[in-house]
Amino acid sequence: MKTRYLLLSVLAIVAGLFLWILPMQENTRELSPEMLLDEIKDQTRYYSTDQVAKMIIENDPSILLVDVRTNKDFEAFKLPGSINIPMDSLLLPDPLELISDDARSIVFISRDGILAEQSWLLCKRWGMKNIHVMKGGLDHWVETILNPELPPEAAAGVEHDLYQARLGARQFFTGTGNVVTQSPSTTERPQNIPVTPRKKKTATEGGC
Amino acid sequence: MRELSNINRLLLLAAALVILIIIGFFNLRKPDIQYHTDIRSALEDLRQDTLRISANEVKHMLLSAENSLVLIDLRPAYVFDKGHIGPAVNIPVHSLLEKNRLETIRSLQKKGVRIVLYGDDEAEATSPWALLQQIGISQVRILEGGYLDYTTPDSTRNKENTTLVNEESVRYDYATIMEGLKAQGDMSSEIMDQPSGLKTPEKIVPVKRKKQSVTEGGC
Repeated sequence: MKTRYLLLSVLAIVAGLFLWILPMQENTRELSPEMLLDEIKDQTRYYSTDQVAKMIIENDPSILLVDVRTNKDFEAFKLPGSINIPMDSLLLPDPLELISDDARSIVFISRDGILAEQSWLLCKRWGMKNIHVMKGGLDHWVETILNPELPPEAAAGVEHDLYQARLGARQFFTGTGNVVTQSPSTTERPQNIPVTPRKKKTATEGGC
Repeated sequence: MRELSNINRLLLLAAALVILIIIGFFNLRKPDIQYHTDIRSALEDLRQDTLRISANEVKHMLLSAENSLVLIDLRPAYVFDKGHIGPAVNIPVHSLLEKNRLETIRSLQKKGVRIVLYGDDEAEATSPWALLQQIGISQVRILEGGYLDYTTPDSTRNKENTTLVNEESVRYDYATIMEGLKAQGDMSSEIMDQPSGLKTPEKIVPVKRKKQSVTEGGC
């Protein structure tokens, strides 16, 4: 009888030990490699530069732009409303808490999008949700918002609308309203601007 | 007699519990694929390791000794079929962690073959590269510029800038570009003011309308 009691106690202790060790083995928040790969496949993490421009212009309260370049690069040029968390400090407790506790959508921004992508990956592995990447980075921002390409005459209406929207965004961010090539004639400028809102309105009414 | 059977029951239950826990423990303990580094070390590795290999170097290596280099095309199969770099092997991203794929990659590594990943562009290959690094497959490179740059003649595409700052190629000087644009804006507004005083109110109102139209466009 006594041996049975002893055996019972031993088993109970062993069971207790295993149960105690078990949760420590798993970090339930961190994603496994397979889960991480699933996230990599999901392309919805990307926001285009047009989308980001729109969110800044509209003062969208649901996003937070996180620039992962160095502080020096950030001070030289940054998107309005963006904060700087250099990638090296990304996993330090304070920045980590700052962005993971935030209810907003985090959008990572970097020069060509590579650092932003890596930052995204690490934060994803850590277990953060609702994090995104601005596709193409600031280089693409230059190519689309700051120096948008004039579509050829024959291009679809959507492309022209996009171009006009980009001009509008550029006006917002730099104060420049006109394309460089059109600047010689100054009388053209007042004419250009009134046309745009009318164009947009009809497009909206058609869609809404 | 009653005491004995109670103890027996408890004993059996405890034994069963322990066995279940041990089974569960071992199942959870040995996933097929595991990270080789914790997150913080992964970050350090990302910052330190050389990421890219140039298209020219790849072409050179392929010419000299085809077996020294293996190109892995991460794009979907139908894109691969439309066109890929000659001797490249197709491992679409979603299948990257499949057992046989990983074995292939690991055996190549053991043989000392240089592994180069590519997608249409660098961004497409970045996360898969980082993931492989974290599960212990390091010394892998990403093709600079991706497939699109590889297949365009050297003269045209954006290959002029190979300067890297923190692993990112420096193509534009943002501050200078912004200054240039703001200066233009100031210049045109100066010209605008000259002809007639009536122009100034016109200048303010259109800007407001412009913002509205951007919003409505989003509807």
